[in-house]
Amino acid sequence: MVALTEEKIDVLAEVTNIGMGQAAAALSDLLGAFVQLTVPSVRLIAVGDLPAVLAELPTEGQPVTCAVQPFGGGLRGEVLVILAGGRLETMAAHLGLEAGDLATGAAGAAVVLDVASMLNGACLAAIGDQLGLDPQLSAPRLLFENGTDASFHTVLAAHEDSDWSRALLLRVKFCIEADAFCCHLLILVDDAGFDAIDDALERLMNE
Amino acid sequence: MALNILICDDSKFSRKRVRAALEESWIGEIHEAEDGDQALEVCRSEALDLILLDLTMPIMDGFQLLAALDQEDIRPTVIVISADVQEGARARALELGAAEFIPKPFDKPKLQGTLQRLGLI
Repeated sequence: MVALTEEKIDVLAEVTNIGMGQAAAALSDLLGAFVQLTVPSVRLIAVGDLPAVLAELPTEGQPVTCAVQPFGGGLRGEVLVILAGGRLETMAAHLGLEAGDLATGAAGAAVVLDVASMLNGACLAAIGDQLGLDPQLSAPRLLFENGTDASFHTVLAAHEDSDWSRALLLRVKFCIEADAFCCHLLILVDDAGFDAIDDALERLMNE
Repeated sequence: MALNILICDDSKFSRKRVRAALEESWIGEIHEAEDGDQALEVCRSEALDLILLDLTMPIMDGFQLLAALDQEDIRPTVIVISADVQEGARARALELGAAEFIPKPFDKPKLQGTLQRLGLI
């Protein structure tokens, strides 16, 4: 895997920005709340850098919930969805659920997985459209719920046996304005996916 | 009419796309800014006819720039061109004084139609 040029990083950030906007609109419709966006970041990381990347997330000691959703097809990788800065009850309340509805762990997991699927579907579809690629999402799964920063070891453990050495990291952040509740998407793309993106960016730049 | 235009977007690629969608005959002068702060400096020193403005930017975002322009009573026509396609983002931009909202990705006919509707070309 070679490095992306500064120009390609700029183009990919803009492509990601458009994906992020679509996902924010879907989240805003779902929750009936305005979603604050920040500029997405794009960089190439070694999988061993994941602890540092996760440590950068501003969780501020609040409970953290994390789900992962792999994707394949025209682009291979996975999306880590990290909900931070609030409790699942906050998200559930926006979805019109009562606290009692979350009495079972399964109901809480379902909320997280529904939100993760919706965000990932909207974001990846828009990125795929622009790049002429067709990423196909598999089912999401919960890595941990209402954990702490220390729970991120679960994420790292999930990658210990992976054959990835480096990954293209697209990081986007959504905050629900009224609640200081933030959701981070870390889109990790493997070596083959990186090559496909590199070619697609070349085409886009020459249009 | 030759317009004095500012393109404000943190993405160089996006600024290039916006510039490419403008007909040479519409342009008097063209300026670029990477964030709202830079844009505000240009607005203070130039008599602009039109700002083509992104919303999600570092340092000072598009909403903050719209508020600052209103506060300083600087009133060029502002067309927001943004990937933030939430209905709330569109409504907020229009409330803050933007004349139109064009969602990204956009094309030249869309920009042209908007400029015609606003009587700028």
